[in-house]
Amino acid sequence: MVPRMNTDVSQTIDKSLEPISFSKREKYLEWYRLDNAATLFTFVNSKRITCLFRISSELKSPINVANLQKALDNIMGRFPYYHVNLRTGLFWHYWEKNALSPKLMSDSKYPQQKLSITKKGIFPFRVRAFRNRIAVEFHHCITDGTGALTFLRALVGEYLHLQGKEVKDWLDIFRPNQMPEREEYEDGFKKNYRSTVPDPEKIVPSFHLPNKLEQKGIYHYTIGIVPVKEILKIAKKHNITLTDYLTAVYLYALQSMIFDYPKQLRKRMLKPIRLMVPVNLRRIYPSKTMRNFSLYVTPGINPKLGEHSFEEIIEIVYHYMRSEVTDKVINQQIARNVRGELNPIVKHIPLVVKKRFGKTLYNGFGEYLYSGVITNLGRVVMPEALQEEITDFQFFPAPSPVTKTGCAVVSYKDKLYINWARNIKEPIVEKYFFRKLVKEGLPVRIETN
Amino acid sequence: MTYCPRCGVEVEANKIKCPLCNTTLQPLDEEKPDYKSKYPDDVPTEEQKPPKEKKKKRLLAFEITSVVLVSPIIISITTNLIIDQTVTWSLYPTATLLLAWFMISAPLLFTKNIIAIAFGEFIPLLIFFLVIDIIDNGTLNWYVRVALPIIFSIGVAGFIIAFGTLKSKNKGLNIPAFILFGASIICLIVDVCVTSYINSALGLGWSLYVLVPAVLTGGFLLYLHFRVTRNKDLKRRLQP
Repeated sequence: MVPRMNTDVSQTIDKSLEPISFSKREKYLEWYRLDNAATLFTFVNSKRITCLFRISSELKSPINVANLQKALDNIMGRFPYYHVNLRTGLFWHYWEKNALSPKLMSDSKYPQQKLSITKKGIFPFRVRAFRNRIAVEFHHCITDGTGALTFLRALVGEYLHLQGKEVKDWLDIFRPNQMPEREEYEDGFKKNYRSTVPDPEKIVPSFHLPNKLEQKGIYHYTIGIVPVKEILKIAKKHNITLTDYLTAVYLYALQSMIFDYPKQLRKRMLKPIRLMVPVNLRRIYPSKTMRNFSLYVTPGINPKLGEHSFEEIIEIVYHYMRSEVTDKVINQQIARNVRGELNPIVKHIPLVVKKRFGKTLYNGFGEYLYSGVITNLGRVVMPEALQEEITDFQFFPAPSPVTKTGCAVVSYKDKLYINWARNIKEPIVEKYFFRKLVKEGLPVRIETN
Repeated sequence: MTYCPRCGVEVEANKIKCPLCNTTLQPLDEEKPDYKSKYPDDVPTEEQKPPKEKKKKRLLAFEITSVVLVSPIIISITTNLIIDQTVTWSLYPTATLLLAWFMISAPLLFTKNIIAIAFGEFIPLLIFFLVIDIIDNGTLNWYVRVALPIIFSIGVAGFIIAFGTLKSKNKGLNIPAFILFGASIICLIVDVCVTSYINSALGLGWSLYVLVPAVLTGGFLLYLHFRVTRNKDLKRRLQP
């Protein structure tokens, strides 16, 4: 039997907000502020920097569109913080309750194209379907990978439930009959901000691929599928985690690519190779937030010092990760970002002016400092009764005109999906990366869009 | 199962070439499974406009400028002829618009030739003021003593600033410093010319008030450029 659906947003979150006074609660339901990380993403939203990342799930049977739309309608009440529209204020953007309900979209050959988030009635995400696949594309200004995955798991779970699958244990999957908790709304950055912590040290711009960008809107996928057990065995052999191992392979691939260029061309490319590796802060600071709560660390090597062996790179990544992924170091990034937002002068600068500076800030602190991005969403677990119905989960990074390629990793059941996305024609980094994995003795299957 | 012999990876059954290295793959004898593409075959919705060549863009700008400026010239001359049956006051707007046309066209037509641009800006100015002086009462009054030296000083200072900026290896605060020095020289010459013309004797007036702060500020900017900005890590560089 289908459980009672709570589709009315205000009704659904009513009980969860009992400690708040009536007047405050009404205000809380109608609108809320953007989190610290989100602000910058709204400034740079464009056809080139779409800030959209994607998580998809392939099912065993073709999608029943009517049921999927119904499932989406049902779960929206459980995610009231995503049932919003970005509005423009005098000093800041803010989220306002969206009067419409999100509609399904068909998928396209080149996904993750620009979403005009400031338009009235637009949701900060898309739900797409094609053949057996359900995909969500979330704008980074509303949430990070963890929030989007929670949403997709709830959507797939509810869809399969409507398709007649009986599930006894729903694990941690959000169900339409549950009440959202107040902590899911919280801005984790502001909660953990300490004003006395100093800024992190500045880093210099890194090596970037010299390849020419494709037309706006074209986004190529290269998906590498590897058995989880075997890759974990190899990572364990090197005594490092899976993320560390893949980061080392990525750095090694970029270095090999640079050293394969003719000497004259190579000279200009000998800049530090640095990767952006997002860290899920919910693992460091206990938080239930469904909004952005991740920052990054930047392991790297300097090819000017000479060609590093793979073992040397593994050592560098291992020690870097141990020393940098700590609350003390991450606190510095939180302090720098939140301090900027709380500055009374910054607060009172009109949004139009802030936007201009925001772009410069994004370039200065953002992608010019990295040669690529690798993000690991971890293992996706679904209730046992649904596992047979789901073939895979895949995760794709947002496009960047600076790093040009990016890698997002996720595992489901016995397979690891290493998903590369690029806005250049040549799969140059992918080639070096997967060839290295094959050399390490791993069987790799490649799929593309 | 199809494998790429160079990359060692397994690829999708329908692929003719390896998606990583573009190597042509050996077709398998075994029957291919019924393959369905995982993504639709549509093209991006928003096509990018083909980039226009720079030269074409410049010529288009020149054409638009010409059309925009010629129209008011024709209108003013025609109006003058209809009302007065002769060309009198319309010479002023005509001369001014022609000057604007020459000055806009020079950088559009001679982009890379700085000397041609400089002459394209400078000579029309000389002719313009000559014409304006003559239109007045048919003789030369202020042109030689006021207009000529001022135009020369502006031309020379502008040329030096532009040339210095283009040739400067480290562009920074030195550029506003050069501009300040150039502006000071122009002010000095304008002051000398105008004061001498009015008083019929050589003399200096207001320009000193401009000259002193401008030269001091320019000097400070040059100091910042060469000592501080260029050597960001001064402490580190000077450590024993």
